[in-house]
Amino acid sequence: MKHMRLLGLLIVFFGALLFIKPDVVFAACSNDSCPNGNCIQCGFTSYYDCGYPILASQQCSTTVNDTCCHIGGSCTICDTTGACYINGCDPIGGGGDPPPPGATAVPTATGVPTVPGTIQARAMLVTSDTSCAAIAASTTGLTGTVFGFTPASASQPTPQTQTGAIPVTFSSLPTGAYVLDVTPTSVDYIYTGTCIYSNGTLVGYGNSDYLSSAESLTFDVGYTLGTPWLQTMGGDVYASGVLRSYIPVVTPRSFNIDGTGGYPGIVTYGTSADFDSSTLSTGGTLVSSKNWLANNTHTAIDYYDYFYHRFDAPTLTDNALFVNLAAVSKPASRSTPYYIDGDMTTTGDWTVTSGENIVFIVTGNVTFTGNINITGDGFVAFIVNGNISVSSSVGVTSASTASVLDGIYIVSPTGTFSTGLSTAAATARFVGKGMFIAGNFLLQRDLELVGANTANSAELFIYDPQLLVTMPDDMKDTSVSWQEVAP
Amino acid sequence: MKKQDGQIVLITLLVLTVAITLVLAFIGRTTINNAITSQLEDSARAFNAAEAGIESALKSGAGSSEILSSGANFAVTVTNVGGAVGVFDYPSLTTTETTETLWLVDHDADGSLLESSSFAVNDVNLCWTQGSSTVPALVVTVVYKRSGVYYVARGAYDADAVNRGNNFSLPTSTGTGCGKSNMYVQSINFSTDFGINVATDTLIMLRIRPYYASTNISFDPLAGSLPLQAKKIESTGAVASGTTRKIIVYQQYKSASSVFDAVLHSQSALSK
Repeated sequence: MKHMRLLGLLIVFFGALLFIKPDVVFAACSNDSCPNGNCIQCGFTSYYDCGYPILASQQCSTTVNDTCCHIGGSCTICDTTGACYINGCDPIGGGGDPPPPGATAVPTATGVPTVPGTIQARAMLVTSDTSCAAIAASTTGLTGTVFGFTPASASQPTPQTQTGAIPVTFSSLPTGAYVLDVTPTSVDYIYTGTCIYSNGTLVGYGNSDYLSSAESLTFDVGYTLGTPWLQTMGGDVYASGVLRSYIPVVTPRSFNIDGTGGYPGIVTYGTSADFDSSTLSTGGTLVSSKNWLANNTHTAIDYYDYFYHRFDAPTLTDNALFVNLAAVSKPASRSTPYYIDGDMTTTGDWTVTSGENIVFIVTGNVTFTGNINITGDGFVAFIVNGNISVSSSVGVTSASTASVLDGIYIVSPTGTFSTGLSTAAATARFVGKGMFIAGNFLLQRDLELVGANTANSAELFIYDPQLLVTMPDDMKDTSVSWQEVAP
Repeated sequence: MKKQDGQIVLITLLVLTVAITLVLAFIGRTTINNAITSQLEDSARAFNAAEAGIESALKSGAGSSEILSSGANFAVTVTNVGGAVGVFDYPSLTTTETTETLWLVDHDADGSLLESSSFAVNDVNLCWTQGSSTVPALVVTVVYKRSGVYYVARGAYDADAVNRGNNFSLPTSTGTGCGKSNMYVQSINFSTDFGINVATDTLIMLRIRPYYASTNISFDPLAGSLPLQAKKIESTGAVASGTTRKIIVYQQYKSASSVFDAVLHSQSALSK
């Protein structure tokens, strides 16, 4: 494609040279008679030609008949305003000067006149799917976005402003390279990419391309209101596989921000880690205030099984204690865990107060439809063999750091901890406080519905060291080392 | 005729000699085997008795002595580890899967924390062995309490930090530390390193975890005296024959598993 465009450029160049030869015969034209529909008045004289419009930025000197070179390389003349005509006018005094009225331009056999093209552009809002198909399918245009072309472009027509989803149109542009200059109305719009269509066919990506003769280029520019991201605070983070969360320009711009003691945790990954959406960086400086980042893996452990046996592997279920396992209210504190065989769903907000201890061991799935909060030295833990799901209604506003799930949440290696979709502004963000252990995390929150992905993480997990102390002894390790010695 | 009689006698004597030798050898071997078997049996009984003593002490938390029905007996002593000036050595190699807890507060009889009795020395040394092929790094999390709220401070130390690019700090020194040679030594000043005022804040514990390789960890409280860290249970089992076996067990106070150092722990990817 590029070679074809280069070839086109050469044809235009040499064609233009032939076009200004003295023996070229010009005649007055009309839009009807011009192949490309452009009949322009050329020079300070009053003769006409089929040609191209003025390149406003390619002003030559105001000296009449002075020559200048346009992007195609052919020499033209200047009119009294200093505007440079491209491929249009025969030099004053040339063979075609002046053309007889009513005559028609006849190019030579080798002089192929180029036909101006059209560039359209529009900025569209997309969500997590930033593909060209998604941009094309979007119906949300970014009204107010201003489109222009950089000085490096073949032409710099007056910038235009988009309204709705309708693209702006730059008509009658000379062939040449164009670099689109896009200015959305807000920095909250995050550029995702530009898809370039030539006469309706996808031909490339980016904000620059070459406009060929009679071509219609369309730049479909995609924006999001930022992509959702994950942030942690104060504790270590471990992922045995890929660890990725693209941190936008926020303060502090860190994946693992300092805890209340002023220190971040150690971030450990098994396969790779990436905190920067740029393809040129993996965000090694966006890890934390210390940028502690270790490539290390730990032995996979079934923590459900581990703690199930730590609590003496209960077999007698407590299902009968609950009227409806699909709506479990906060039970009474007790020293032994509640053992639930099957699925359970919480109802209402639970507040585990000072002196209270609640531990659930669940063989099935757990769904949280209300907050679980700890006050004082209360303790709560859910040890789940299936999945943990957080309802969309459990959350806080985008800028809030008030936790909705406190305590320890353990899911088996085959289980998933799902944070739930953001469906309402009041509960868009998930904030957990404690320790969260799972085979897999499904981080579903997205603050795009409140336009806050550029300012706040969709999920925030805060480490709570108090749980190290308030944890019941049955849940703790007993370290015993054994050796035989000579009597 | 006399010659033939003499030959018969000689042959008979030779046969008898060989037979007697074989019988004596057999008897001797059987006796030795019986003795070995008896010794092994006594040793096993003594060992079982020592184990019984350990079980008893782990259950009761106290020393005792007892004659078992088998006739074997055990004698158990339980002593405290820590609670005195001097270096504390963790009794065994600490793996990368393990977080050691160094208690900076005392425990009461039922194992509860006595936060009123806290370690209050500002300067300490933390040491760990250099390992053989892979250089072990160490991450230290200080849990402390200020105005009723628990906080953590953290340090990460790795002699191979430059190669690994993990941004850990280099240890203070390499060589002699905590009374041993070939150690990595990290000098810790709670005030300057972590912003902790040992006079007004309550140091609760250090959680110490090796990275990359297992290591032996020691802690030198320098001018201070560490709170109790563990119980040392020594149990000697014996039988009437005099055979004895001895077992030593270090039982540390209960503490949270290493997985609870993490706010997020994913056994697969963690991707957003």
